[in-house]
Amino acid sequence: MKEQDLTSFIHGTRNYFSCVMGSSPEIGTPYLFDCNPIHGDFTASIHVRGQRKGAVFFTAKREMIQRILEAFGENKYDDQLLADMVGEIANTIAGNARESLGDRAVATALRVAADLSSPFPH
Amino acid sequence: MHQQREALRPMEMNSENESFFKKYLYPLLIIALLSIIGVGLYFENTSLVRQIENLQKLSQICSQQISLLHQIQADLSIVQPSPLENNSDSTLTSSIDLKTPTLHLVPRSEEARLAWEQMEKNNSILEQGGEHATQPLPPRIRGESLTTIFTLQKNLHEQFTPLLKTPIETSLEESLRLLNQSHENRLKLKNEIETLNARISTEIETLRNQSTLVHQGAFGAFLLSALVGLGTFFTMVRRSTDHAQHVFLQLKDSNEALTKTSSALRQYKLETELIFKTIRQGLFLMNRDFQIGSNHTEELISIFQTKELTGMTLTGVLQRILSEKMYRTCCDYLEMLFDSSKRERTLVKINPLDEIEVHFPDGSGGFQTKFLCFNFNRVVSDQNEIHQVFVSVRDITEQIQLTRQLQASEKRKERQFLLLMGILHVKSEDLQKFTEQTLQEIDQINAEMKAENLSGVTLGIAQDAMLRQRMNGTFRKVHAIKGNATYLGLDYFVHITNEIEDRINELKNTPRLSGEDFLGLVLQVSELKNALHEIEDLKIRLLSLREAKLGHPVVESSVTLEAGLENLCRTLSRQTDKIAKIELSGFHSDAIPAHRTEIIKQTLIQFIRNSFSHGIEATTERESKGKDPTASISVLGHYDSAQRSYHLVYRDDGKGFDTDLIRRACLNHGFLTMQEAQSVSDDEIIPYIFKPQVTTTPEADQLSGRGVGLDLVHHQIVNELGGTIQTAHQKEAFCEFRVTIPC
Amino acid sequence: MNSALPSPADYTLTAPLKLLIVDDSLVIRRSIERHIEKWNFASIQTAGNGAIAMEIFRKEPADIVTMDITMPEMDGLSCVEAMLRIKPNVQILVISALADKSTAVEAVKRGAMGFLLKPFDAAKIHEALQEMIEDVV
Repeated sequence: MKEQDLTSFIHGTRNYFSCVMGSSPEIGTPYLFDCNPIHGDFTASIHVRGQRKGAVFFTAKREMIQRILEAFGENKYDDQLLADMVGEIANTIAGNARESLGDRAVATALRVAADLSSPFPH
Repeated sequence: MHQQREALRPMEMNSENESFFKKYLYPLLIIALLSIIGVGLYFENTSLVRQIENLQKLSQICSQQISLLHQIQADLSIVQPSPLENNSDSTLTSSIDLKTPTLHLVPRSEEARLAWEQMEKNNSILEQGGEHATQPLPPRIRGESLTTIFTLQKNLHEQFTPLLKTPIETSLEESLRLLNQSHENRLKLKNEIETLNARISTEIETLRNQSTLVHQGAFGAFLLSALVGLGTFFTMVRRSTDHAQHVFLQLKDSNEALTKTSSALRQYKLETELIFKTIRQGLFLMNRDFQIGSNHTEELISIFQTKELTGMTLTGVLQRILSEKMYRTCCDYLEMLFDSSKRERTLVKINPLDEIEVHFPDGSGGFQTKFLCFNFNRVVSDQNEIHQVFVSVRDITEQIQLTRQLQASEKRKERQFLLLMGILHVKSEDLQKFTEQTLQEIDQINAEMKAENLSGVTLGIAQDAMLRQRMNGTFRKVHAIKGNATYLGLDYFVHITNEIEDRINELKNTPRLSGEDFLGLVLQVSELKNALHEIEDLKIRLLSLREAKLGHPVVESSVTLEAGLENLCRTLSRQTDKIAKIELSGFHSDAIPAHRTEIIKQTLIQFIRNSFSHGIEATTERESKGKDPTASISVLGHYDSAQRSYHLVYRDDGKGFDTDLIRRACLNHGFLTMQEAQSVSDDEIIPYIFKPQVTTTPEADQLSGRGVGLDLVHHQIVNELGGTIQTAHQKEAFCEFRVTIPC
Repeated sequence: MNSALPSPADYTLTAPLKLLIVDDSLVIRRSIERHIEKWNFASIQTAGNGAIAMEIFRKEPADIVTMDITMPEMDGLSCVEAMLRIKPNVQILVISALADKSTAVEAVKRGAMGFLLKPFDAAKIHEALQEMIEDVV
């Protein structure tokens, strides 16, 4: 994937949090990794099809997702809602990315991992 | 307004109809009445005329009676010769000599009798009241006359009877006696007849007067009716005239209003045209068939990059510049604009042409990318129908590019951090020197930019020349920074100075420079400055980090000039398809007087760059020439303490100076005329490499080749320090610089 | 965090309208529900996919529907068309993350009366729903 493709996801994420949380997120420095990208409690993946293949993972710790749910006015924090939230975020970011990537480049096939032991329950 | 007027008209007509009858019926009745009177009077007059004519005849009869009476008297009294006597000289007028027997006098009884009969006939006419009269004469005319006349005539008849016998039986004397006897009667008769006649005449006069009156009356009636008729006619005419005038006034009013409107419209049209010409937006009305209205702003033509828009459809334009999918989406959208069941607010939100990337064919098979912004507003009629859509188009390419540049510079900042990490390998003293020098150069650039007082040079050409001079100054300084950065291996600064140089080269090709054009340049320079500050920051942090790690202050030795030059050669060898080794056995930087180290360093940096740009061939080329693929650069230097000058010899084993290229460059930059260029010898042409902007590299590359390096060196050594630079070369063998710098 | 959202309580319906919320995300369904809970809808129903949504709609056609596009079973735009066949005057607000311009145009073309892009904040969903309501009333 090119830098521009990744930028659209970064932009989507920034936009999502600005809108939902009311404040822009701090974007950390990027880094490369070879191992399992899933390091949060909940992870959703967005698969990019077409000429350039790849996947974008949204992964977050339980506390983080709870804070987002709070922002949605939610007061229940069960695993179903947490997983749903992660999926929705990934879906939204993926949908937004279609503006620049076009519909063929982004598939919204979604995998939500409730935890590391069962990475893709669907 | 038009419709209202149309609607009012029938009502006006109704009220007019009513008044029409009121106004025209009565005059018509009066005309009829007067006409009847007129006709009556006319007939009355006719009978009067007839009466008059009758009376006139009667009057003539009366006159005839008198003359008949005279005739009878004459006939009876005038003696005519007897027919028995053939006496030819008898005279009628001769005195009657009654005693003259020779004359046989005979009364003309025959004639008298006929006259008498006529008188009798006339009497009966008079009695009747006229020859064809149905009524006898009225008593006021007749009076006693007729009775008297008849009586007298009867008496006369008795007296005349013997005389009226034919042949006359009485003697002449008897005749005369009878005549004398009847004289009184005859006189009375004559008087009576005359009286009658007079009365008839009076009557005639009266009747004539009456007739005149009646005649006048009839005429008057006719005249009056004619007048009334005419009046009515005129009234009608006036009415219609009034109406016409009314209409005319209305027309005049509306005409005036129209004139006003028209002048307002003309004004409006002029203004609209002006707006349409000057507004930096494409504005037009689009109909249901997506056709672009004939009234559109000039800008639309340049935005759509087409000469003629008349009859063109927006979809037609879009098809040319959009992808197939986007085009279909836009067609759907445009159709929905005319669908009143679709909410406009929603349509505004989902406008796919809000910020659209379009590709115009550039004529050479490629595409020119632009960004356009379309806005659509429905034009809704009173019947809530959408007949037209008002469209505005803006070319937002610049805005988008600026936004992208901003995003790019954000990214560059992120990259900057990593690039700045490159300074880690540089000794802090060198870095210190670099930042100090660079800041100084930047300050100088800034001072030059600031020092402008262009108010003195208002003329475009002078201003342009001044700005170009300023630009070249900036270029020299940036180029020097680049040299230092390359020397230290500060890739980030090499990169950024290269960008500045690229921009300046772009500006050089601009036909007319303005201060505004320097904006981007200055911003880049400021970026350079910011980066320097960041280096300072970083340096301090790094130092404290190291000190913290080592537990004691860090002591560093500076990069020697020799090492720096070797570094530069290695870097350039890496960056190009050329490889060169630098031979420094005859060069010792510690022999250079301290205050000349900088200029010698600068000079050698520029010479090396120049070698890589021009003299040294690519490794493959060298191989084909049978040369060592690795080029050799040698530097010799020594300080002449007697002459207090430093001597430097720099040599590379490249292809030597390309004198043809230098000639062309001199021609291109106007340093030489065609004639001069041809006559100047190769040795004479070489010093032109020190002229500003003379480059012998066909295309500017990243290293040098922008004709400023040598220009800068020459300027400093010769002009500022009073030194000399000499050149020597041999084609395909070497090129050499001999420099003398007073110390 | 609840207090951070603008209160929707100041808006109340003048007519008894029925609302159907269709979204595959439970978080979003619950979120929309909370946004309009004080608006006095006659009834509020939710569906997690298009098939369930149609089942509910056939039984009790809502006046206003919020509709996600990407859902399992039956996609949102097919739902929009099916609902319009049942109740032509239903006001459907499509709420989707699909930011490519053709999606929005397609949605409106197929009969949606409004389009709201995800993510949305309280102000945006309130405005969009109020527009729908105004058109019914």
